[in-house]
Amino acid sequence: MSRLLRLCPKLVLAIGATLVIGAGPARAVDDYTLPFYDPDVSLSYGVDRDPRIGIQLDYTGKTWYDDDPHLGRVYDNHTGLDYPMPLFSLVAASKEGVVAATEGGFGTQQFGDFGNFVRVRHDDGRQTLYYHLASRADGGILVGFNDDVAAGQKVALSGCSGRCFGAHLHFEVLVAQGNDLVTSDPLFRRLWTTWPGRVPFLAAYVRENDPDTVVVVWGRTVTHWVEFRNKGGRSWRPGIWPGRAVLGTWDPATHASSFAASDWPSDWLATRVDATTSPDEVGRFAFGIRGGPQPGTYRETFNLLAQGLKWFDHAALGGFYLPIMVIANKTP
Amino acid sequence: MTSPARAKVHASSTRTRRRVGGALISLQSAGRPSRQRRLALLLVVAPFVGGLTISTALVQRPAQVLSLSSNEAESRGATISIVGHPDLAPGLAEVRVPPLALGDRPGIGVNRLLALSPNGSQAAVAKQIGPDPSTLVLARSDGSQVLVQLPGLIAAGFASDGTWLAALDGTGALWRVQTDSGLATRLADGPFIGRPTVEAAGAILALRVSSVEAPFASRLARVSVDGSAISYLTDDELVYGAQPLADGSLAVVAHQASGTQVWRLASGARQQMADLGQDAVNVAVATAGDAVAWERAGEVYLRTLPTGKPTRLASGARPRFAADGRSVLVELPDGSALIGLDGRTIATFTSQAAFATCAEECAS
Repeated sequence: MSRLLRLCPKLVLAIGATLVIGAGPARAVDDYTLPFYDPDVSLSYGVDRDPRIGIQLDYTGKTWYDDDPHLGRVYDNHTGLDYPMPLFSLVAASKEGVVAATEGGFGTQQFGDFGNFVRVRHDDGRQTLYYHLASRADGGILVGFNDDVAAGQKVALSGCSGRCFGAHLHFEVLVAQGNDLVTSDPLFRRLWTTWPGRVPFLAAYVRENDPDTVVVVWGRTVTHWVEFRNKGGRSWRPGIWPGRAVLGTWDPATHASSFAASDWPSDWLATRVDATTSPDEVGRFAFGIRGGPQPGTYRETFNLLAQGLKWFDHAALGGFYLPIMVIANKTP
Repeated sequence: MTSPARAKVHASSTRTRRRVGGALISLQSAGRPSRQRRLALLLVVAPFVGGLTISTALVQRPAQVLSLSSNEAESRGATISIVGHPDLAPGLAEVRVPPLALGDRPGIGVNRLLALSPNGSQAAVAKQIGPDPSTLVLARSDGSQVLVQLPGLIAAGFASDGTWLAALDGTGALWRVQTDSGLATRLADGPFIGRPTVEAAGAILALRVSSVEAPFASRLARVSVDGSAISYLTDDELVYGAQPLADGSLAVVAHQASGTQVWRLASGARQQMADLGQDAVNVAVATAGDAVAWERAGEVYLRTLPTGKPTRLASGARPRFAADGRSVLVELPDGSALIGLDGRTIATFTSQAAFATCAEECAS
């Protein structure tokens, strides 16, 4: 029975926009990523780069001499990027930084002049703003003032607070101009991993050294490796400390494995990526499978984890698992 | 020339207005008439609706004005009643609006009370809150109405003599609207947010922002009565609102890193009145400056100043103090409630309510 029940990876967004614009400047790796984890979320409205009312300049360079909203592009005087998503969707820090301000007192769907937000200060002088969030009372604000946040760390849950006419995340990149912070357009600049659109953590199954059942003698260990393509916006680096890409047991997450070999960092953490793996590159995860349980047929499920931050979408990994057959030791 | 923004809707929304097969379609591509076509349609059709009079006030931008007698408003099912309750609290009035019509979206602000005139004889009601073209209804206690078409409508505040009001449209532009004629004058582009407050001398206080959708910083601005001059009373921080106090100073509410603070602003000097901590929003200060009420997570809290401790007052939102400071009006999901400072419910209403600010002097 084939176990390659791998699901097709989800589409990465903004393909259409890519076709419109064509190739741009090289994307910087490990800079700003999309501020959420779901790769199916797509832009509804981008930044209007023309400050004049009634004239809209979108991220593709197209000018609209009207004041109508143009879905997928821009609406008049819009200062950020709108990403529709259901209420209480996870919102991720676009880059590592320090929390500069939070507000969580408005109701998750309370319409008004102001809404809930998180603002993060980055070491390049920019700041990112996450607006219309769910209330702190509803668990919508996950960080506090002055907290350090890692790139891709979940910082909030989406909502529809403030001047919001449908649940979405308003994401804004701000740059200092004198004493003020003014909006910048990450899509137009295309300097960051936000172009053409990368969520922080996403991977697709590529291959294994043995795509069939792993056979291991009871009490012995065999080495197995699996390769995944980095479909996210952040590089995978070796190591097991926070933010590093590791392979752990899944379903349920972090359960102690009966197949943990001596090279596993812990009883649930099988291994980490072998080498630095940039977006679009393939990373290998090698680990031992020990024939721990009595002879028989088993199944062990694994998932990738941005250590301490976020489990990957297991479905996008093709629901990766290993069928394992433990056989008796025939040696007298 | 400023034009109105159109409503923006987002997929995956519980409030998405137009979705087809799970995909969002733009309002424009959905066959929505252009602004010019809608304007032309209105000009053609409006004079024939009920034989009503229509005049067009052309001040920088055309604003259609429609006057309705109380009978005409009633025949259209658009009656707005102002029902005073001076026995419960000075200046208290219910403003009863028509029920939601088919297609109206509750919660966003259909028939929303924006302001009550200082003497309680007029109410400013928004047909719909938001960036879409909307109608400002100036409802009088005799049942007559003046309807003013504006390019979106967010907030309004009356001048002290009630002869005009300041309104913010959907783009954040500031308008001056004469209450008798409906003549609308665009004063400043802004963008501004917050409820515009007209000072006794006629200047307008509003919050200047760079983004009306996601204000992470705002400055308290004073706009001259003709819109020709704007001065700023605060730095570019996150000011949530300001209200005049009885001593002539201003109570300014602002979000700081550690939470929400209230200052007294007088002659350019700032003095802290209260630090309300994290997540205190929709803050109201008693006119005497001796108490503050705020909302946090759907509950309203009260604290006397300068040294009182916070106490939970009631469930609700957007507290406002009566002129005598003895009661607080809060919004409920299905109306409003008048709460005593001891937390007891004095009255509940199934309608919106507000305080007329000069209730005592007007009554005398």
